[in-house]
Amino acid sequence: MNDEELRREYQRSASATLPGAHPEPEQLELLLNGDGPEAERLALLEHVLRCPTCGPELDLLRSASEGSRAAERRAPATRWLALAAAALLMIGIGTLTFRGRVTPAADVLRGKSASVSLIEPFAGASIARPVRLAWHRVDGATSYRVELLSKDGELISTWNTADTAFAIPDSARVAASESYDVWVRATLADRTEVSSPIVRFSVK
Amino acid sequence: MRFARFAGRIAHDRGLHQEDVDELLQELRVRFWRARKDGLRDLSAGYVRRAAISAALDIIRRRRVDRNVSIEDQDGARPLPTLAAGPAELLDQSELAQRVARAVDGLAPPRRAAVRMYLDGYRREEIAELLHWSDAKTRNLLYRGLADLRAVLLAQGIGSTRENVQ
Repeated sequence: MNDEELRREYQRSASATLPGAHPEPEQLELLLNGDGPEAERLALLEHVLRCPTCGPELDLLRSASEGSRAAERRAPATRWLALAAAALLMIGIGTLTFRGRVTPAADVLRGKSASVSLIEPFAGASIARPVRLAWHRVDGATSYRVELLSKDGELISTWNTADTAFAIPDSARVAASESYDVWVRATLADRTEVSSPIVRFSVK
Repeated sequence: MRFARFAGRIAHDRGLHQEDVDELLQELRVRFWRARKDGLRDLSAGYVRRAAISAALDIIRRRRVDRNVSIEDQDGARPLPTLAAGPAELLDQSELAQRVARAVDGLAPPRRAAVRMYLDGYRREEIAELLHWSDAKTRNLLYRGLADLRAVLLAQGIGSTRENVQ
C-alpha cells in the first residue's frame, strides 16, 4: 500500500475506545510546549490524535501559537530600531543623519502610503531565478525590509535595502518548483512600519 | 493581519472552521484592548504569544462547558465514516481500515506517534515541531515506522514487497 492508500484506510478506521482520559486544556499546552518527559507526551498525544474532541483543540492551540510566532517576527526589527534611534539621540547626530537621508520633494508623487505596494511579483506568479522584487516608493521610508518565507510561513531570510527593487540572492537557495511567500516592510522616519500584503509566488 | 493569516493556515490545513479562527482573533483583540487600557503600550512578543495561547485555552474551556459533557464520562468514540459503497464493499473496506489501524496501534511508541500524525495528514515539519524532534530524528522514525507498518500488513497479505521498500 502506498502512503495515500495507508492514509485513506487509516482515516477511515474508527476507534472504539480511546487510551486514557481527555487531557485538561493545560496538558494540551504542555504538549504544545514540549514540557515534561517524552514518554508522557507521547501517551498524551496517543489520545489526542485519536480523539475527535481533543484533536481539534490541539489544532486550535497550534493555530494560536503559529499566529503569535508570525507576529513575533516583527519584534526584533522594532526593538533594534528603537535602540538605534536612542543611540543616535544620545550622540546628538540623529537630526543630521535624518536630514542627510531626506529624498528631494520632487520625487514624491503622492501622500503617505497606507502600505507598500508591490509591483512584482504579483500573487500567483511563476518566475525564473533570480527572483526580482519591485515596489512603489513609500513617502518617508528610510529603509525597506524584504522577508522571504517558506510556504509554511517559516522565515527563510530577510534583507534591508534603501532601494525599491531587490533581487533575491543565490544564498537564499530559492529552489525551482517551490512556492514561497514574500513581503516588503517599509520603516518610516518616525520608526513606524508599513507593509505590503504577503504575496505567494512559485519558482520556475 | 499577519496573526490571522498564519493561524488560519493551520486551521485550514487541519479542517478547523473559520469561526474557530475568528473567535480566537476576537478573544485576542479583547486582550490587547484590555492591556492597552491598563497602560501596557509595548506588547512584547512574549506577551502576544501568552495572550494567544491563553485565548485558545479559554475557548477550549468554554466549549467543554458548552458541550456539557463530563470529561471523565466521555469515551470519545469516533463516528463511523459515511462511505459511498454497498454493504459487502463497506464490510471489506471497514475490515481493511481496521487492520491498518490495529497495525498502527502495534508500532513502538515514538514510531507510532510519527506514523499516526503522518497518516492523519500532518506534514513532517509539523510532526517535528509538535514532538520537539529534530528533522533527522523525525525523518528516521517516520521512515522506520512506515516500514514496520507495511511489514505487519504484508505479513497479513496486504500490500506487496515492492511497496514495502518504498
